Amino acid sequence: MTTAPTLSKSHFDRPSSWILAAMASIAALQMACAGSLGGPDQYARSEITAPTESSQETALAKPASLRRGLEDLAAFHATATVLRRHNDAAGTAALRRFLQRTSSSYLSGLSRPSSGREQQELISLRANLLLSEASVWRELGDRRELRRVRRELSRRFSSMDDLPVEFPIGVATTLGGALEDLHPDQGRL
Amino acid sequence: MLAGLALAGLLGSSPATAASGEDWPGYLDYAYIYQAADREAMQARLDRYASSAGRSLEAYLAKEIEWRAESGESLGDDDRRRLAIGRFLLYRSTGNRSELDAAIAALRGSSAANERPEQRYWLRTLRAHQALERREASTFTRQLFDLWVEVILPLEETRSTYASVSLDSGPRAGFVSALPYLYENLSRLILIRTQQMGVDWDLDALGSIVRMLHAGRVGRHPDLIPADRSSRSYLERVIARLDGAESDGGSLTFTLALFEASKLHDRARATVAEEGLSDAALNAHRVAVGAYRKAFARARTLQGQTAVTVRALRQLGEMAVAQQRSGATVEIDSPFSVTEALKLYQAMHAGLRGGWEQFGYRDQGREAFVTALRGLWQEIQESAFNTADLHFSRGIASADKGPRKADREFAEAARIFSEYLAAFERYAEPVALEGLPATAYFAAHEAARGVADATALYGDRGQSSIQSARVAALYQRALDLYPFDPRLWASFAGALQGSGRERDFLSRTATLSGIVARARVLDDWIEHSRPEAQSLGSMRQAIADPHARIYLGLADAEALTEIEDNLVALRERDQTLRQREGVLAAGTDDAELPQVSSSRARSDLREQGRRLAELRARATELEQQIATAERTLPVFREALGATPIADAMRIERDHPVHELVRDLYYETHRFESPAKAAARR
Repeated sequence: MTTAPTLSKSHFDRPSSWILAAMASIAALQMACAGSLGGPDQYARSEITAPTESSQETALAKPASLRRGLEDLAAFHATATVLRRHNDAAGTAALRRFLQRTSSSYLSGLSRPSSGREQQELISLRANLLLSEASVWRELGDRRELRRVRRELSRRFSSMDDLPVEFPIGVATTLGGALEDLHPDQGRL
Repeated sequence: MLAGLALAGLLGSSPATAASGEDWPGYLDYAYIYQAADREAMQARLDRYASSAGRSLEAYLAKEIEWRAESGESLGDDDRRRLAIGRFLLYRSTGNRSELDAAIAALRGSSAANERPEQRYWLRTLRAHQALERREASTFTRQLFDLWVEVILPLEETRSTYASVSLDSGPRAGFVSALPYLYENLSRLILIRTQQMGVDWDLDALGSIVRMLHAGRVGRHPDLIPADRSSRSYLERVIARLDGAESDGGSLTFTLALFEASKLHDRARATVAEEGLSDAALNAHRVAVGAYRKAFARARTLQGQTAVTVRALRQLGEMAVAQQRSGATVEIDSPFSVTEALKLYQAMHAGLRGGWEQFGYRDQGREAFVTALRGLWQEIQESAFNTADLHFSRGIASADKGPRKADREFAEAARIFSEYLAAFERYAEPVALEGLPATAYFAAHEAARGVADATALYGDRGQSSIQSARVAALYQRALDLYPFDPRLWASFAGALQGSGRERDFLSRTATLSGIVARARVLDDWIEHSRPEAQSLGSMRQAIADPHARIYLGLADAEALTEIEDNLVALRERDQTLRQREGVLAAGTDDAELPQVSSSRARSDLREQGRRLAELRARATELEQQIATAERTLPVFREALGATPIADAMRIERDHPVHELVRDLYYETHRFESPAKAAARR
């Protein structure tokens, strides 16, 4: 039959040094291929490329993480809607703090573009991620955070008004249309 | 992968899977695998490990860790964590809260508490349990949000990085490989433990975590956590309920409370099935009623109130049936009743004219709202009928114990049936016919009949003519709603007889007869050979024919033979008359009359002629009677022999004839003003 662990698990808390070294090499290789050590945080139209074999392989994990981020934000959105409809002020405040922490420790990293050229799919996913976050902030009635995300969207995706996105969640539109809708004068806020 | 298999082995409950010779550190370091076990399972597991390690958990903690702390030695992070986990496991296996406090105290001051996900995981988990012990829902929520941000998200990020180099599982993945178990533990903590600890309020914000766990986290690793040991299916049901029509505007607090109440109801139902109405079964039902009461209190929308009421009414109905079967009388104090449910129905019914979105069905749509409205009515109907039937049967059973007791029961049965009938009259309006299920129309017939039966039996000392007139009116109402049960025609005629109005039978049924004869929906039903078309056709023919209608009212299956015997006697009499008529006719031939000269002879001849004319008239009358009987009897015979559809409709919600009865009702009432309808009735 199977055996119980015989080593204390603390031995495994950190990956061994050779793994870390290998990972560092892979990361360095990726950055070198992209021709830059620090990525821009603003997209220009010329940076959107069709997927190539090599970029597909290295970016394999990114769309999955972004999609998970989108799913998580959908969970936030559904919950925020319930709390708003029930006028649950305490619940809304708790969820707002939770989203703030999630945004700063996790979502902000996901929405930040990686170095080099990115596929259209990734750019679209990142824009959708920010828009989803904006949807949740709007649902939570937080003007300040909504403005922050809107600013970020305008800055990162300037001149990409025709980018197909979903806003609010599940409704197809363009980025320009979504930004217009996100204006603080629009909508529930 | 090897470590994964080892973890899966630890999760298994078979004692054989626990390795011999392992000491407590190994078991404690992997406690996240089995920490969610219930008290008995946890105790059994700790006993098993103690047997394998050669000492109890308490002995290990005291001998290896606590004595060093007591002697002033500063404990390392691993020791602190193991001590905390050990105390926590003792808390889970005994319920002793001081063990939980000791566990939290052990982690306090841990240098790595702010850094290592594993340390933070245990700290947040223990504090979440403490919040449940203290009944602090908001603290519980905060601890889980912190756990998510401080433990789950960093581990997922690390796993994502490891995955790119295929190191996301196996021993080198470290605490990352614990993620599937952490998801599972979080899921159980929110969905199950909160309810066990009675923390069933202010949990809605945790809906975010529940939804994230559902989205590809819990149940994603069946190789580590087999489906039958995962909370995945329960989580799926919770999400389906949150988003479904039986939600309370998406409230997690409400959904968990209703699930808990339903579980208790199921348990009570099973106990009744096993033990009958034992004390344990009654207590189980009382606990379930309490849980439904709590869930109702948590509901903030009519949607939530409806979801609870539907189940609570079902419970009332089940209790009535159990009492009727066993003959026992039990008292269970419940805030739910048909009367209260009808108030809720009234509030919901208003949504048919607009505003239903405000009731909680915004996300599910109008169809879900209408389905819920009909479902509520269905439960009101069934609960009312089960309870009324209980009182009616008690009335019958207690007839020999004195008329007063029986009358009380009959009066209560009549009150409940009347309440249903009055509500039906109120809501069965052509402008909002979608508010009632198809079964409601036949049920209204049953209710009218039920009030009539109970009223007829009320007062064993004989009925007054006024009482009989009221009973007759109720039977007539029952016939209007469903005229296809031959037994009811006889009841109606009997009640008319009791009030001295039997001569009104034909006139009072003439309108109904016309409606049945001309109804387009019935034509269509029979022409297209829809279910029971033959039986319905037979009854329609009988109702449309005045003579057959008289048979329906005055005769039954037993009387049929008598009528048939009478017909034979009539035929014999007819034959005799005709023979006598022949003889007389021969003796009174008009041609011979002028030749009779004496006045005496003439007088005799005139007398014979008069008798002949009399005989001929009687013969003609008999001929008509025989012709009528010969034409009507087969119709009546066929109607009596038709399938008793009503018996099947009574127990089958989806019997197709319910739709016909509903459509017939609306065909009859569509163009009638309320005043005209009342006048017709």
